[in-house]
Amino acid sequence: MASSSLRRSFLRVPLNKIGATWADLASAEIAALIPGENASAPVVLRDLSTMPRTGFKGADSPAWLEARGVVLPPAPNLATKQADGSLVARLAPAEFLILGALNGDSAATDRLDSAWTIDSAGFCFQLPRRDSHAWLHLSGDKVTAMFAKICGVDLRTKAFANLAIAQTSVARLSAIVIRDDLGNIPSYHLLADSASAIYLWESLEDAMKEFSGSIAGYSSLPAP
Amino acid sequence: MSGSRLPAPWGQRIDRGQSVTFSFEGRSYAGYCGDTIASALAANGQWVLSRSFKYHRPRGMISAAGLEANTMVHCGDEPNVLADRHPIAPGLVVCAQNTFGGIDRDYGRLMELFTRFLPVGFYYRTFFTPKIAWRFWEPVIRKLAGLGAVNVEAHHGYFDKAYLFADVAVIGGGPAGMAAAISAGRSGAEVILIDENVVLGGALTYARLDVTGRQAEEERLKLEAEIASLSNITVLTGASVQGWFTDNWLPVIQGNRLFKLRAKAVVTATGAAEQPLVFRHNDLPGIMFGTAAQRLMRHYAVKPGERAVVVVANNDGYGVALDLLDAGVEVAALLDLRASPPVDAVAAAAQSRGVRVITGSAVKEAIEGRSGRVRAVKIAPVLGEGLLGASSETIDCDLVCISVGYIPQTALLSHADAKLVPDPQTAMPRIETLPAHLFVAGSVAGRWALAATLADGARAGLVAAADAGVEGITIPAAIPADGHGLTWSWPIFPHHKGKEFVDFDEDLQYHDIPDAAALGYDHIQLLKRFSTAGMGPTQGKITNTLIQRVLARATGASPDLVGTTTVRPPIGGEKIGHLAGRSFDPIRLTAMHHRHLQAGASMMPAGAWMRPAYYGDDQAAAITAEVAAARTSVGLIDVSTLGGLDVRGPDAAAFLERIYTWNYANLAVGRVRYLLMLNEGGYIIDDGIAARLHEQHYYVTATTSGVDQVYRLMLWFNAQWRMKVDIANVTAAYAGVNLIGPKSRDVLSGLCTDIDLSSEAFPYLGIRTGTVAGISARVMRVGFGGELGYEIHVPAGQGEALWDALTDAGEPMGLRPVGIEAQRVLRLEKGHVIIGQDTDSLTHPKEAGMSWAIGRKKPRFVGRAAMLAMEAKPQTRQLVGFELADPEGPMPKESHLVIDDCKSGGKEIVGRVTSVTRSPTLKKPIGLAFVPPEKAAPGSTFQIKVEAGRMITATVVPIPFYDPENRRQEI
Repeated sequence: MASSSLRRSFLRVPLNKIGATWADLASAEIAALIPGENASAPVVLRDLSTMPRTGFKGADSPAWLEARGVVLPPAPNLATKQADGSLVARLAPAEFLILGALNGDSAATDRLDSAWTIDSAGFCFQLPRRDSHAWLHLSGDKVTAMFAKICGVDLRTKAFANLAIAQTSVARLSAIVIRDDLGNIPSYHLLADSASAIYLWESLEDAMKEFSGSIAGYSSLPAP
Repeated sequence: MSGSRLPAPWGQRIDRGQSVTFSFEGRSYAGYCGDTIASALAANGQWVLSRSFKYHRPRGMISAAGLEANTMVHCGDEPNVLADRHPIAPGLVVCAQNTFGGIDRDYGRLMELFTRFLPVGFYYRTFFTPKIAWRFWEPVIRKLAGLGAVNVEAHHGYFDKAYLFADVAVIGGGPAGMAAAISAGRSGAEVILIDENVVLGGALTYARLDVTGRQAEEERLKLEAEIASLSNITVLTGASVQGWFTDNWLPVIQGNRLFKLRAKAVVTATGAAEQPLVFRHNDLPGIMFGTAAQRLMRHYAVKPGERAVVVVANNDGYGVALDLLDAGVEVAALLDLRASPPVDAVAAAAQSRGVRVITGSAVKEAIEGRSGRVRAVKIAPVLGEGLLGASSETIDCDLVCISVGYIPQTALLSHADAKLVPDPQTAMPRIETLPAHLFVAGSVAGRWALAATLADGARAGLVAAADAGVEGITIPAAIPADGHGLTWSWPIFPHHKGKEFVDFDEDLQYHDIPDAAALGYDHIQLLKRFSTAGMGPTQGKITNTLIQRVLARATGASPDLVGTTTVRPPIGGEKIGHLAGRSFDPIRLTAMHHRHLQAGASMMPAGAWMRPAYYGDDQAAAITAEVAAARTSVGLIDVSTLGGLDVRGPDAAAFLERIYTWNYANLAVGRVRYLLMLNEGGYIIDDGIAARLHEQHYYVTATTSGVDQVYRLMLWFNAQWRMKVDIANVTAAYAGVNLIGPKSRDVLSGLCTDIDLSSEAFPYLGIRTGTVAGISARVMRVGFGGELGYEIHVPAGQGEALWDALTDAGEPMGLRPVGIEAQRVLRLEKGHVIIGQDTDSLTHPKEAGMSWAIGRKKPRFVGRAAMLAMEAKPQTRQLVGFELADPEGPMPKESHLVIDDCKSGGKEIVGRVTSVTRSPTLKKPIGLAFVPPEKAAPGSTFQIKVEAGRMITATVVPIPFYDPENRRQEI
């Protein structure tokens, strides 16, 4: 797989070190299984960095997206689940981050990306979110306690509603945090500078140690 | 053995089933799990814990609560550990501090013989006259001063920080704090209750409130159970709040963690400490607060002495006497400073058990025993404020318990700028005003009786919850203050022989205060600094009120006019580790980072990025080989760290025209042009290229370290200009490589089939989009090395795959990875300027030789007016290329100075070297330097001062040094 031109995770090396088993998903490699993973640990960390996502910004973005059937969140810092399982996060009045469905289906993001051209979209511009940001997934009963060690925003479930967004600093790194519970399990998407992914990964590993956190693969992600 | 263990139920905090062995001053001691260092030592008869700061007098516990420096010891790698708070652990090594010869025989005590020569502020007056004297005294004083010794070899501990949030934070887990937490919790508020002790309860864990001695514990258990039943109350024990900051931001230290707590409302229920009694030799071990003796007994089952004298000025002291009797301590006498004390049930019980009560009497002098501990006291009648009669009796004792009043712990309130005024009715401060969202409860608020404390706490909890936004709360009526008669207003009995200490940290005696005032230091702030009163480790927690009172008497002012010194955070000691926490220093890695490591790269930081400096063990050989590969075959450079900005929209061209110095509106789609950025002062701040991908889309690069600034400035300017343009920082989104060398086209052609790579179809300074190795790419014919080359930008997630593909394809042609050091050589051979290295913050384009990058016909661009103004002035320097007259001679280094003869004689600095290398291609030293304009013409010579002060001659030459016709990059 090393010689493949498939998209590779920014966390390939640390995941290889713990023996990750890779699978192909949405034209990319993804860590599917981690030896000894505990998917029901108090904190579970997963790398979804190669999963499909995209972004759009500019004053015409809301209209352009709505014209393509995207249900927009009513206000910035809120996210909305789409019928196809993708998640639309409104980062600003006219800036959107679209995370593909957790089952790896890239149809939603592919459809938008292929529809966009600079000539036809007005003042709406595509953003390379799949490469600018690493995408980590954190879940578990102690995940907010773990976040309290690295993030100044009160992310506890009682203070931070499901599908709320915090654009903040995590471990001194600019980050987007989106709460997106998996059933009853508190769950958060964490997106941050892809070039700093390994630094962030190591910071998270350290922060979740006291909670007996576990790194898990994509395959153990509960069905939404 | 004077101290010994009491039977259960004494000793709530120790586990008699777990013995713990540790050492103190090289001797082994046994204690129990749950003991503090001080309690375990006391249980073994070791009451002397330290030596005093100035006179090296023996010192022991006063509060048993960490309120005095007497208990500071060296523990493992850590100095200044409070022995009465720090738990013992198996194998713990504890040493005394500030001793010369050990805790038992400290020859530093000889200093006491020179007391009369060490008046207050002696070092300010003694060691600086004549001025040269300080040179002698300074090392002596440095050796004598300070506490503890830092072990610079100590291993790094793990410290971290965490955020906490609450509707209501209650500080202090005594009865008032517990009641406040419960009422706030019951109302539905989210509560955090913080206490510095390991068990909630405060005074309920040690005080005797009734004749039976059971009421306090029964009440504590009830409160504790209720708190446990409320899931919305979080309890932090063993945690200290170090300060109060704006908006109820509270730093809380628990173990090695610093919590940063933000609460909507705060209830301060920090209680009170006892106040010392000042008499001759009041510092001897064995003289302690009554509550200290109670803590030792109830918490640790330590019998505090065999024969006690209890000195009281309130009825709480009678409870101490009853506790001592219950513990088997003989109470030789109870001295009540009051002439006619009221008798309540506890006092009556003490008297009924045969305690000899001597009213209107106090200790005049304590007498030191051979071990350093008190062995007797001389008592005398109280004749007036601070006045004792002749000594009437000497009473043998090894324990003196002091219960003469309280000092409310108001430090946090002071941090919050609460107004506190001395109340002559209670001899304690009264809170006049509090800031919004901060509330008080219990004894710190002047409510002392248990019922009043509980009611006041419950009320404060409700008030705080309502303040935090909980609705539907009915606030009960305020609880009246009841602090009258608890605190003796003048617990100070000066002695004509001195040694009656008013500040234990700094060994200050009573007369030091009026003496300092007489010298003119009669303001509390001046007095503090001159006498060092309150400047010791405890910051005068239990002694500042004494200083205030003595100064008031010395100056004839009332205590409220004397005022207090400023109370600042932190309240207790905190470690550098707490402040530092776990370090978070983000490091950025390119997509190809691990390929560099595999190729043997030495990595170097470039801003937040890590970049390969060179590949291989031999730096010089590696650089030479890498340069040679780029010049003769093909090299591969990771340029992912260069900034990338997508500038898009109808006004994109106009926007770049304004931001950068050159012309971009006339740049054709598919073409690339250099760009130069000035600040509003007209100075160069960044450069890069603009590649036009579409009429409304430019892909702009910036320097690795400059892109964040460029992005910020673009946003800043467009926030004002409001042009129809969108700016996206896509630096991390793209990985980039520079494929450089005469064989670069050959390498690329095998991987790129959808772009015509011929020089006709894809000339120098062109940009094309297509695929390379199946990866969507932006391909540009640019480069700073002066060779045929391609800069290929692909999605970061595929950067490593691109690197792999190019490496594989280039291997047959001798492709080598090229690091930063070789890049610097390549660019210098071409005479390219590195912004920030060959320019400084005051370099304008003309003096950098970059006038060619200025659109002179443009009406505006950022920095234009200032640049033109500077150009209108006589030029003072010019960046030039140079060679050395002696190619084999010494090499200058960057920032070596250009020296010229001064018109007034001598030499002067007229410039500096900005870049220099021994060119492996040209086989000679070359460089760039700022020189005076009159020396800038090719052929001119100038002098460079190199190492060891040697002067070498350089000759100005035209740049580029290599391929001046620029043919190679355009083939």
